[in-house]
Amino acid sequence: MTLEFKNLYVSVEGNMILKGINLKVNGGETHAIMGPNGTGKSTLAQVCMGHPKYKVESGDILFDGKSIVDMSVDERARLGIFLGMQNPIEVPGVTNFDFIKAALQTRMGKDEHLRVGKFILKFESTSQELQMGKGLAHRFLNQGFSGGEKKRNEILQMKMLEPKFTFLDEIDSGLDVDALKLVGEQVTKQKSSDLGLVLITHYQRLLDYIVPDYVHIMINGNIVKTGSLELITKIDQEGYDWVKKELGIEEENKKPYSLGTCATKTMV
Amino acid sequence: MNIPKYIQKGNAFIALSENEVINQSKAIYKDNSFVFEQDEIVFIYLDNYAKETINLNIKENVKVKVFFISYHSRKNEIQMNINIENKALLNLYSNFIARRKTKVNLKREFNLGYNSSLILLNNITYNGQLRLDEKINLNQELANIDIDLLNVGGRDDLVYVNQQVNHKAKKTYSQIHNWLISHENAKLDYYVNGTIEKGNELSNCHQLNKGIILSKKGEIKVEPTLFIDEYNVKASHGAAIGQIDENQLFYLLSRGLSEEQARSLIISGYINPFINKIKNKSLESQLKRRISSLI
Repeated sequence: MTLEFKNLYVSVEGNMILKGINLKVNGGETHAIMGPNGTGKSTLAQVCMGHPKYKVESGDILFDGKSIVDMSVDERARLGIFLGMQNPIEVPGVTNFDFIKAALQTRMGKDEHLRVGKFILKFESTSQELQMGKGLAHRFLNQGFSGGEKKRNEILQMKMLEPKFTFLDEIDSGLDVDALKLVGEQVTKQKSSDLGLVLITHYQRLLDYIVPDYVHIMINGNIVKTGSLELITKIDQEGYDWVKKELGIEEENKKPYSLGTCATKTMV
Repeated sequence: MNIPKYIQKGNAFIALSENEVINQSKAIYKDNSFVFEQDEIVFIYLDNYAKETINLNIKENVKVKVFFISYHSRKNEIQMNINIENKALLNLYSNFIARRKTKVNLKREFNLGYNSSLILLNNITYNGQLRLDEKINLNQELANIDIDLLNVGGRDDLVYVNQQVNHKAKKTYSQIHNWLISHENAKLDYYVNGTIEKGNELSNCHQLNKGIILSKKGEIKVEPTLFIDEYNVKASHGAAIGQIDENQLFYLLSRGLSEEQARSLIISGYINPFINKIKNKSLESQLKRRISSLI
């Protein structure tokens, strides 16, 4: 089981964000992508999920060797890709229970039926593991949730839907120390040979709890360095300037562009 | 008169047609007025009724829940005066049903006494043309109203609604939530107005209008207005109209729901809070069926 980005170029509103990404994630591996703000880390996750704002200019994304670039968002999700979002969206009036139930049903064949009792038990136990409180099933999706609750709800969805590849985009932001530890432990518990994990983060603290096999540094839309745990310590102590110096990377004269979707208030 | 079974079955009801008035409730009927002197849950059924003004009077301290169901197969004009006396409560659910595509005008005037309450749920899923003029007078201190209106329009429905709330005493409270969905060629036109006269301090007047347009030709127009001649009050108004939020759509799609399923879930999330307030299973499922047939 592999997810592979091959020489991927991606633009938004005519600005090239990803510039020839090459990355291969195998089932059972955990990759951490680190890098300064605005280098395209979140874009990589969103493009893999198929967000319509991003345009794949060239290159490919392969899931077990087959291109998914032309697949719709929901097709990719049903294939087994999951994106734990930086800013989980609020959907008023839709309960967590109905939402996750509907999401699970989409993964079933025509002759399969969701065993509701079993589903409820799993939902309740997962909710307890994430310390989400008893009323979660009937709360509206992310509405009125604290920042930490939203992130834990992303992990809950991941655990319920059991994807094959998961991107966790800054899942540590908005979490206090205890919640970070909890989320880290729960994600680690989920690790298996059936799950390829990509963590996008700025900080070492998440990686204290979810230990990656590979650490990638992304600058100016490309993965410029790959290593292991020693890279995290160095980044934590020295930032990214040493990488730029070492590799002779110059700051780009960036034109501003809008991604438009980050943390915007929902209308409905 | 052909009274639907779900109304007759085990319920207190009042039924009115051009030729007949059936009163199987505790309300006292006299001179086209129904006086409620005891707490009651009652259906009021109108079968093409457009004869005279209907008067409802909720006496002091009495709590009444009314399911107002009006069927139409021809052009009708209905007028109602509703008086809610001191410390009384009227919980009123209204539904207008077209047996065939037609035009209906409904005028309702509410007058509220001291510390009285009106909880109003207006379901507008009418096939045809509907004009609703509602005038609500909060005549005495602590009179309060809470209005939720759900309007789902499809085909070439035309809906015009004028909501006028007059705060005529101190410490009065009003809140209006309008939830509007326009599909196909439906045109929904709303004028929502709150007035606080001078001297009626410590009053609250709030309006919230939300609209989703699901088609290219659908239209929603809302004019929320406030006329306030007093400083020491709280008031707010607003209207947000647009298409289904793309971020919400992407979020649901990213969990594997198809676009059709995602849209349907977002819309049901939009209308469910209204449906959950009806508190009558047959009317709730009737409305759900009606909405699924529309969108």
